[in-house]
Amino acid sequence: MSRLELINVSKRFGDQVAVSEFSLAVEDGELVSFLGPSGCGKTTTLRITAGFETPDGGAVIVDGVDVTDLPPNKRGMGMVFQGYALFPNMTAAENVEFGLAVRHRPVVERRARVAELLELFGLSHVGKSYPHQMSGGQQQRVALARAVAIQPGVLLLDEPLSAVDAKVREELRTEIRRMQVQLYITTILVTHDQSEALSISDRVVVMNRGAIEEVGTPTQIYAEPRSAFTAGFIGAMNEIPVRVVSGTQRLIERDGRRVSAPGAAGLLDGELGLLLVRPELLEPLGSTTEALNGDLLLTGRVEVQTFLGATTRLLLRELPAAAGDRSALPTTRLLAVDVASASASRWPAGSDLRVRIPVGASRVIADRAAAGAAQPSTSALTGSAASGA
Amino acid sequence: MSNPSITGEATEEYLATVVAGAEAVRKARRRTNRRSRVPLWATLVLLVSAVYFLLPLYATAVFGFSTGKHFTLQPLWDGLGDDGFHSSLQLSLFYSVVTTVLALAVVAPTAYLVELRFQRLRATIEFLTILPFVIPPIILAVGLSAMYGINSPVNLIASSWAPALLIGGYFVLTVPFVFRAVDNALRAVDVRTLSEASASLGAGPTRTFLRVIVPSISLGLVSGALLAFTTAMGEFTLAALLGYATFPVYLLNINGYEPRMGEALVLVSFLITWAGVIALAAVARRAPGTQIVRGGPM
Amino acid sequence: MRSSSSGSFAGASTAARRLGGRAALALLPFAVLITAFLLVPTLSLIWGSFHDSKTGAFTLTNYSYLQHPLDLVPFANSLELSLASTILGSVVGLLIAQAIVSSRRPLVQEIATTFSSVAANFAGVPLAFAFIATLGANGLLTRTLLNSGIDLYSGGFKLYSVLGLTIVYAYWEIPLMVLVMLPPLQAMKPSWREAAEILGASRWRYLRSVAIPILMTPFISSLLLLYANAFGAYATAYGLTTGFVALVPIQISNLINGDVSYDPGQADALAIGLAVIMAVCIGGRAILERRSTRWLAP
Repeated sequence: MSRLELINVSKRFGDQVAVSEFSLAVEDGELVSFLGPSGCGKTTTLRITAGFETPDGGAVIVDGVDVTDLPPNKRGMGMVFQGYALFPNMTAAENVEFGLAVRHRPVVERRARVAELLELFGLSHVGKSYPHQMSGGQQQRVALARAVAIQPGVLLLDEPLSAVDAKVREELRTEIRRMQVQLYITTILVTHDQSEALSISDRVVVMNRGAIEEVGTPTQIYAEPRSAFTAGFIGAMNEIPVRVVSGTQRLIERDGRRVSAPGAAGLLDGELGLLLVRPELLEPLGSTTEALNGDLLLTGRVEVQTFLGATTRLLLRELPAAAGDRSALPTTRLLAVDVASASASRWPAGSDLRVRIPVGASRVIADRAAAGAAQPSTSALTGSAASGA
Repeated sequence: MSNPSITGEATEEYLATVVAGAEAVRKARRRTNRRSRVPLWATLVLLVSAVYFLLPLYATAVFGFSTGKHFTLQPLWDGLGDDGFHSSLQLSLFYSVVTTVLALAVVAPTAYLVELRFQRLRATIEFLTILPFVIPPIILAVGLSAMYGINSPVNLIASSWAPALLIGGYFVLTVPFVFRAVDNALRAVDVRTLSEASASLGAGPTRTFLRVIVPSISLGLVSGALLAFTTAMGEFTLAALLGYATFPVYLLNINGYEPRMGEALVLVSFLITWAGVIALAAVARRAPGTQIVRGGPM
Repeated sequence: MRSSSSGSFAGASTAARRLGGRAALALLPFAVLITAFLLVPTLSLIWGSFHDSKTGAFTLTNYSYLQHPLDLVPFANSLELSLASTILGSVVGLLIAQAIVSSRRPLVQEIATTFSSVAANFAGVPLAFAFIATLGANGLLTRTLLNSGIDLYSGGFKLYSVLGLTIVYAYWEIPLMVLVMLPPLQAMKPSWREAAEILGASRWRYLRSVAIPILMTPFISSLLLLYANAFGAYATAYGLTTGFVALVPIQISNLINGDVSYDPGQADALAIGLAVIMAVCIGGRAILERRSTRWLAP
């Protein structure tokens, strides 16, 4: 229940920049995730918050108090480590009790609190077991119980679920969220797992190469990414080449068709752009006479279908339209369209289909690659689309 | 700062002051990166211990490679040319080689058979191979001399079978390492399947052992052999108490008569030990878990 | 791959059965050698210890030292020497091992491990003479200190003493300690210390509650190893003092080789006593080894 502020935190190791200009405020009881590829600085930032690394610049402030120069054992934070770091010579109960024992709480009080926490985390039956006798999921819960036993103002989670089986992971992350809300603890979760970050966070901080790429709610990050990196990193995203007619008037054109695109604001007139559209927003068109209503149209042939469970991803290769004014626009080669698996049989591999591209809510970013070299991008698809991750 | 990620009432001025002040303090303390720094105490400890370990070697060189006034390698050449040196070294080599060959030839098939067929005997065999650890050379020497010495029932020493006594004693001393090295190598390989495959192709048990098993455990054999050889070369207690003029015994005596020559040869002995360990370390790099140190008293 | 112990392949048991009686024969050389050079001498040791050396009659007087073991000068000296070198070796060895781990440089570790193996194998006559060249009456260090105004020998220091032996024994006790304690120290996860720290523990609290309990078992196990090694060592002691300092192994050798004090029965009894001490140490180690692997498994 503390307010955490990181102000302009930076850190380098040798000549490698690990974190640069990181500023963030986390409100009472909020769960914020740090999400990004390995090496993006999320763990380093977390460790700076905890006090295990000293920042080269910037400050860590808890409830208005500058704790940057305090050692980790004086900051009143809790932490769950990757690999749990349970003390192997102590039972689960003793592990949970440790923080309280260090603070010299009376024995009676300690035992009561430990029992209460074991109960809360469903660990009462393993209280007397040693870490090497417990499963991964149990160890993780003990690590959590141990961290919250001292009622920390801030809870730090360093990839707590990466060592756990996939099936158990989903259960556990819901439990973590439930516990966090119930105990109203300000929490930072570091993870590389997008679904984890998006499913349980109040806000997500997308990081790239030591800097904050973007901050927003899960919905904002997913549906309205503000940078190309975020768009590419979160889920799968199609990038469809278009030409910007006017940035101020928010007009783009493709295949001779000019449409209004609010997402094109701020781009230069005449430059090449990429329209960002999620696979599930692309609609296969039924009949040729359906009105497009301000959307764009694309024709393609299905190369392969990828079964993803509830949805099936159709990978399309664009077919050149009838000779139109598309000079200098790179071809969209591969496109991902997500359809309900139940109807996927309507478009088997080899079949042609026409796809409606909704422009209204989609962002347009400048296509720097095409502007630089004359090479068309080989795939309109970015992110982990191919595997449907 | 117009970063949209910051919310709250803190003014920019306040934040700037906080940040600047903290940064100044930190710069004054000049904390270096934790990751690449070797702790000062660790460096000191390692340096001091390096001095302790290198000093005796240096002192030996200073003493051995001089005439008392200036540096010369003459004592070394004297030593290398000494008849006593030659005969004792030859004797040591003889005993070491014979012991090593005998140990390999006897222990390897035994370990193989125990692993393949006589699993029940494993506990007994392992006990027998731990026993020499419990019985340091001094005790073995007393026992051997009690049984095969001069005033004892079987007087081997005075007979022409005398070498057998020391070979037997060295065999016992080296069994623990050879067995452990070979056994580890055997367990790392699926001995049963290999033997079965070989048998199904018509090979007899000896051929199976020699052509199939031995090549698969070659690293274990090499490390066991190296350890046995270096142990036998450096062994003093048994040789001295049973009256054999091996190299370590010669080394003791010569240092009484000709100290400089003796010290020069001490360095030679050290180099031999060093070569043995380097060879073992090279094997250990290919087969992790190789035992490099005797670990028992001499 | 561990071969299965149930011999489920028909082929394997056929191959083994074909060895059948011949297999037992193949174990014969091992059995003969072990019996002749280990078991029989041990038995004659035991037998000899219960019989008077001159008359051959059954007697218990050889074991009279058990009533007041510390009255026996060799025993008192050996005890003192072993304790001193165990303490010195374990403390310094632990310090060095931790320094190696803390340096976090793989190169440091490789060099230290290789050198430790060499030093641990260097024990015996050569080591004794290396130290005579260093700390003997005319040793390099002795003379250097003399030039700086420190006279070791007039201050009562003698290399041929328990103190001198302790310093020499340290040369292989310390590396042995390093080699044995390095794996457990490396298995200590840094995240344990960090977890303790963020829970509010001071560095001392972490050591007391986590590090020391975890390292206690391997540490005591290595103490036993060092003690056994010191107690049973003969070559280094003899090489340094040629029997000048009374120690149990030296006394044993005097009793079987000396002209004046020839008494093999007494030697046997002392040897059995020594063997019991060794057995207790090695046995204690075996029990502790089994316990410590649980917590430090990666």
